[in-house]
Amino acid sequence: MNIVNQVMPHPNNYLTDAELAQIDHEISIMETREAAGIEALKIVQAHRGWISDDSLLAIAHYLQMSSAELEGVATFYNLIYRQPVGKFVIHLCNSVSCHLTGYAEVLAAVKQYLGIEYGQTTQDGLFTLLSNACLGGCDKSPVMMIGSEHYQQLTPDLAIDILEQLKQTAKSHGGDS
Amino acid sequence: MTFDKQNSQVTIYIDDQPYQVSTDNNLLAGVLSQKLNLPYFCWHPSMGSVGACRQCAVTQYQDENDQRGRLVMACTTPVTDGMRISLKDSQSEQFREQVIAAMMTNHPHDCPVCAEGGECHLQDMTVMTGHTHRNYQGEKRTFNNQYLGEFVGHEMNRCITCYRCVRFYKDYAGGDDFGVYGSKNQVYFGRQQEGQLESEFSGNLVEVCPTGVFTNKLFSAHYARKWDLQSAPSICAHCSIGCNTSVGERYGSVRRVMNRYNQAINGYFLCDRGRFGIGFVNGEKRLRQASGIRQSSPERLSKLDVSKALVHFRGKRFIGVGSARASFEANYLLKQFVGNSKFSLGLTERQMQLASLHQQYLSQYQPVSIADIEQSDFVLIVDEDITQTAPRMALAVRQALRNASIEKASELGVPHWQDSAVRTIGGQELSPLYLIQSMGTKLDNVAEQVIMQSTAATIKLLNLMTELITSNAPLIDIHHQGQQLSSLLNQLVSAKKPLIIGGWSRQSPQLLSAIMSLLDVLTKADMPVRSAIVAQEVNQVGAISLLDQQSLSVEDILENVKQEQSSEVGGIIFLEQELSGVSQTQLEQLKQTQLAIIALDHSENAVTALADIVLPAASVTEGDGHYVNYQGLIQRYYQVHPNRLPIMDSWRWLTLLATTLFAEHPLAKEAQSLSQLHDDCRQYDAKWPMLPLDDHYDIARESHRTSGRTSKTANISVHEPKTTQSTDGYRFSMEGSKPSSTAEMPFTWAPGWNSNQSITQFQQEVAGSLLLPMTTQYLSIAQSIAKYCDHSEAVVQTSQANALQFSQQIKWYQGDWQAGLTPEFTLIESTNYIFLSSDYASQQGWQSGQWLQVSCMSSKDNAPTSVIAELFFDPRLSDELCYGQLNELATFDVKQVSLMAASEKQVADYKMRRKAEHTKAEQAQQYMLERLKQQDQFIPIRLMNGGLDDV
Repeated sequence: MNIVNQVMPHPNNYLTDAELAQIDHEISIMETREAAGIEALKIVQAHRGWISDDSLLAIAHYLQMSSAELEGVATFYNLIYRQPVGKFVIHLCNSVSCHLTGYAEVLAAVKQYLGIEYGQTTQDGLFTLLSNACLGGCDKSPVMMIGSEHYQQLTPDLAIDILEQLKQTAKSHGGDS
Repeated sequence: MTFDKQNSQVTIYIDDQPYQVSTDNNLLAGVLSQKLNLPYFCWHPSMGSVGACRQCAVTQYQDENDQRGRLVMACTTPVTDGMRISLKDSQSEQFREQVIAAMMTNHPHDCPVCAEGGECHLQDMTVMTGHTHRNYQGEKRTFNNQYLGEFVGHEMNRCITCYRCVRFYKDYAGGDDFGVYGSKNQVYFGRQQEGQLESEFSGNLVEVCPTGVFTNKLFSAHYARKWDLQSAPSICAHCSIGCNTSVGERYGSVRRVMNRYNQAINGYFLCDRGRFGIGFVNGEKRLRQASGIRQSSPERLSKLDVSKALVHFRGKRFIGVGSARASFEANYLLKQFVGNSKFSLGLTERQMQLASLHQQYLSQYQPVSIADIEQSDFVLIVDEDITQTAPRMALAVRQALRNASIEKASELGVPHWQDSAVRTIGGQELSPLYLIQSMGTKLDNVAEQVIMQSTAATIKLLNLMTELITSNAPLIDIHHQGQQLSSLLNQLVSAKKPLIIGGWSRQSPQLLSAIMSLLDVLTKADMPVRSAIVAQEVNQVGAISLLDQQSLSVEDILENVKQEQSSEVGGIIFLEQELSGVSQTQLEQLKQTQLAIIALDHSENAVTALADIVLPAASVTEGDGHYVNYQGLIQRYYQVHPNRLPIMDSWRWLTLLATTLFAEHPLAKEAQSLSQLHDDCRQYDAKWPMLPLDDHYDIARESHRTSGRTSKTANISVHEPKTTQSTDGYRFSMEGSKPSSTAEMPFTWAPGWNSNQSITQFQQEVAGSLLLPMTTQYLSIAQSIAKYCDHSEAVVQTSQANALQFSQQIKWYQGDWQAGLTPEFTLIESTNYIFLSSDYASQQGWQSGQWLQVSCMSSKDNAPTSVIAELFFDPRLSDELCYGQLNELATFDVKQVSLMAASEKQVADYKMRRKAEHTKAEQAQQYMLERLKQQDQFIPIRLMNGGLDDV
């Protein structure tokens, strides 16, 4: 039996009050409890940067759904991270329009600048590089997304400038705290 | 599943040929029903269509003049009158070939090491589409595999993402520990974390998967290709449902169990007890030699040896203890030989009362078939955890619950076979299921209501329901459960096809009696109520049909043993009887008796341990006989491999014993075959069931592709051995009639269809009845034991201070002694646990996850047994109730427990003991495997291992 064999962290011990409050709000506007799954994942990710196994199990327990089902949701969406990611996650569009307008060069430049491959995070923990199938900006391709920001009509230089800037902001913020 | 079937046939044109096709199913099913070849993956006859794989594309034309047509997916297209399609046009042919080509870009080239090879639906479909060249030069997607437990192997690289596995496991069978992960080209099917699959239907993944992602681990460990297996139609021997199976063997050891399609019973699916519990046949506990008989030749036991050993008992009477797992024939013969007044089934007094009620039930009602259960629109299950005691029935109940959404969809014009659409429309709406029970079960989360209470309270509640229906009285005021009860009763009386299920597992005659009173008033009120009573063992219904007024209970036997030390009784014959319902003290009593104990069994147990003479009986796979399922349906199982003498069918042993012991009895003559035995019995007893034993077929048990016919035994002799002769209509040979010459096919195969999905070629229409009729002969059962009368004694509880009512949860891998001998079943045993109400536990200051010492008072043994169990909470329980699993007490008899916190040392000791047991089971598993592989070199055919005067 499920309950017996699977030891789950108790959600009230694991999830913070702030997280629980936000999840509760989502539950209240959904038809069923488990329908809040996607939002709950987003909420916890917003607080913690990514969804660890423990987070996943805690959310599943809280929503009274199976961890298998929630894992299905979590791994289906490419904006839910099931591994630790850097402060900035770069989603570089690799679909056809971007391919036609210089994606390859942008990718090469980004990889070289950061010294990482797809799926990796820089040593300083700032950047993670991921591919993304279409960001919906074909008319302004090549495109990438970092956080909630879209960067369009990229060239290798432009892309690196953007990364430089982000690095600077991160440094100055890091100095503040 | 097919609710409100409108079965109208229309004419459709396939490549300009007219065909009569049913509008009740989709176009793919229609095409396949015509025995035409159209490849498919995601569609399944029992699970309907989702249109995921795009493999069954056909071209549909507007009318005769339409030359271009358009591609449609046959599985998502309804059949309409006069529709015109083509399977042969180049457009759809090329499309189908390209779909396979795309799947093949990722599918590995590992067919030689794949257990599915030779019976792979993907191989079949690839050949069918004409995709014969590999053009793809790129890299293949790869995955890490998971450990999915002891039974199911995982090889994700082979996946073609048809989604059948998850649709079966989750949607069809209600499992929640399996899912689909990722997206695009990275789609993964498995568990969230590695671990034993929790569903009792996990083995069906092996058959549902069109390729080799999910494989039978036990089969893979000791493997043979499908075409090298010798197979026979069999009946699952592990519960009272009687699912039809096809068992495969090679070199004398059984390799696997596959589903054998029977529309009315198992359909396309088996439970894991049936599929994986076959290990006992090859097990270490098997009895292969007789003991207690002086053999004149050390190699061979002769009939004369047996006679000599028994001759001094001639003229004495014997007590005969039959069993619910021995064949109908063997039980019948035993009763005839020992006489009515000396016949027993090893049932306790209480079980005799149950048997009496069950006889009465079967004489009044025709229990509903598994297929008919799926048609129900209301289900009430009374204190029987069918998910564990009769899993296949629980699977059917799950399908019945979908009828509400199927009906809702049909109102919107969506046909039942549009699986994902129906599920979306239905949402969480289910047909009503009511559970009145004393423990949690796996059906709880699909039930409209779970009434959790003691068996005693359930009996009262049922009696109240009976009264209310009789008197038509208003409910709400009379009973504290009024609200619950009124919705239950309202739905029960307004349902069109209501179903009530009960069973033996609470061992309560009062409960069974209360269920029958309820059935009685409903039937008298002309309500269309249908029912099923789940028995414990495979031939329980057949066995109890033989009981009469004079039959003995276990208590009677012990009384006899005490008194008749020197009387006319010479001994006791135990027929495949392990006396699981008997306490240690009672066994001791038997041990001390002067009476000769003769035990016939296939494996060692408590009874063979104390027997003076042990005779090795055939297990289900070496035997030939009939079992009677919970409905009274008489079904035959056939020899899969020749019995290695002196192992023989129990009915053969009994007739042999009778020639010495009961020589005057008309049946005391050795029958050459089962059909001859049936002829003899029919002459002797006019009431003997008339069964058409079609033994004239001569169907080959081996496929026509079997390797090594002449060389299998070449290490022993280069001369081709004579094949073992058989008399049951099937040959131990690759020569003979084709498997489909009868409805009882040893295996299923059709040209171009090597997997089990070839069954479609032998059905009237997809998921319909077989082309050749199945024998459906029911045993007529009369009430012949004294009628049960309720003294209501057991309801009165002699309650001790602090004692709780305990209900033992018997798991699917524990309910049957034979299957329990399979080492893997020990490996998956969970640790002891107990569920309490959170209120009670917090009063005691106990926490969830804490270990308790449980003292169990059994009604049989006076001294309480003490065991350790982990505590969990179930808020639905009242304070005086608890349930759980205490492995040391695999019995239904434990009634009361008292609890206290366990010491750390006790817990540590327990865990150590568990670990040791686990290691032992792992070693047993390894040892058995090594021995079997070794044995493959020494082929046990009759000629070389004769005895009992075999020529």
